[in-house]
Amino acid sequence: MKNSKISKTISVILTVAIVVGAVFGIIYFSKRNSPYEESFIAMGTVFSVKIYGGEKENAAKQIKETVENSETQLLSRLSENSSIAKINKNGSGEISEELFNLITLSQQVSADSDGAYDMTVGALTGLWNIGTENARVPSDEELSKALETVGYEKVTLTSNSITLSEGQQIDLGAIGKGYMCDKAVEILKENNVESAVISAGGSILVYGENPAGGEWKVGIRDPFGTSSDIFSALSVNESYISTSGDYERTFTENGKTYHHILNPQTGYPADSGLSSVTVISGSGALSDALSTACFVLGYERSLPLLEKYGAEGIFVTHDKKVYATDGIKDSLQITEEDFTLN
Amino acid sequence: MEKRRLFGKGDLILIIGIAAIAAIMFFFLRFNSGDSLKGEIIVDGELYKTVELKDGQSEHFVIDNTESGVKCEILAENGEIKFISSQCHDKICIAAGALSHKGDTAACLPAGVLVRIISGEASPVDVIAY
Repeated sequence: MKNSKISKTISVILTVAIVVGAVFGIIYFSKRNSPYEESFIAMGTVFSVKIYGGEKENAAKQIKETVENSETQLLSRLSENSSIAKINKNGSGEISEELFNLITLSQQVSADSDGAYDMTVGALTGLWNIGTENARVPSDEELSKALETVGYEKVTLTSNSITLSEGQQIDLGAIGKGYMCDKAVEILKENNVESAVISAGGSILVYGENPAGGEWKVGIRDPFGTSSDIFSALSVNESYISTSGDYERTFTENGKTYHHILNPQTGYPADSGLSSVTVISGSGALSDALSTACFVLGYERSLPLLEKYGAEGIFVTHDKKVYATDGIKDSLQITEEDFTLN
Repeated sequence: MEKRRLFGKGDLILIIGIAAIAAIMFFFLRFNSGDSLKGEIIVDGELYKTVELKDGQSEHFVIDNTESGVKCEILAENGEIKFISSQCHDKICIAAGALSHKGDTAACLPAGVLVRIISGEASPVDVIAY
């Protein structure tokens, strides 16, 4: 009788322990599998990170630090202590291997796009100041003077130094955010992260497998709607995606709206009939630079450039016509009826 | 022969105990999973306010103590949150419209103010290419 009571008590305790263990197990694993998310402002845009598995919090912290350090110490033309600001100020300077590699890629895309993308537009962007409180339309004389300084071919680059021509200014704004996606991948790998989504303004990295199963679904912003409106959804595996659009940074003067993607040949905001271009390639920096180049070039002239780099593109015209390269067409689903896929 | 009862007193306590734990588990997971719609306002990199976004609710925030000195106003109303005014030049923050899906973000860069949805129903896509 006594033994029976003891065994019953033990069964009760064991059962309760198993149930409590199961409860905490479920809570633990549900928290472990939930993503770590963070958003912050840097490089003149919003960065959002969503990381699954591995040392996710540590990875997010390192990504934020890397972006902030890269902005202030390497890439920003406005931050006094950055390498680019010093080169712009002095006309020349020593460069790290990291900066050499980024500028080499930049120069390569400039040459291949016949200067549609050109990192030496710094004097022009400094005149327009679009995206700042001092945005304005420069005079023809100012533009003409600034245009004389533009020209990637006038830059002298060696493995450890760079020399600019008279008055020339570098602006890596059209490649920097994509480059941050490349740097983020290194951090994600070091922290054994399983999957992640990094959004840096117009540049996106989808990394690893989608925890929800299937491919990642990337919405492409409706250029004529708000930032939450999309006109299509793109299904992709691990990819670097960059979008350049005429809605991103704008200002209006005398009733006319000006956007921030400048044509290095004219000095004015590019007008190739496109409202946005999205490029998908194997590198963040490349996708970023190519999306700018393609926006300036327009649809037809962009195709050989994308083909050369094995990249894919989605083009949206002012009249809501959508063109997609063959490699991505089947993965693109138009979600808004007033857009037509051609 | 003594007729054996289906449940003894101890069994009953055990069943009630397990049911109670299951109920606690349900409520814990339900109310700690962050499923209710919430937004965050971040000013100069610091959390300024977490706002629960509900139908019929309206909260108005005037952010006038930013490092930049740029003032902006945010409205949380009927399950959405949005910038409604800003001293900034381009007004991109206002053009971003109302946020209502987990992961949505909008920012007034000149003011250094960021608004994001941190919980609630997720967007039908994993990320939006802006």
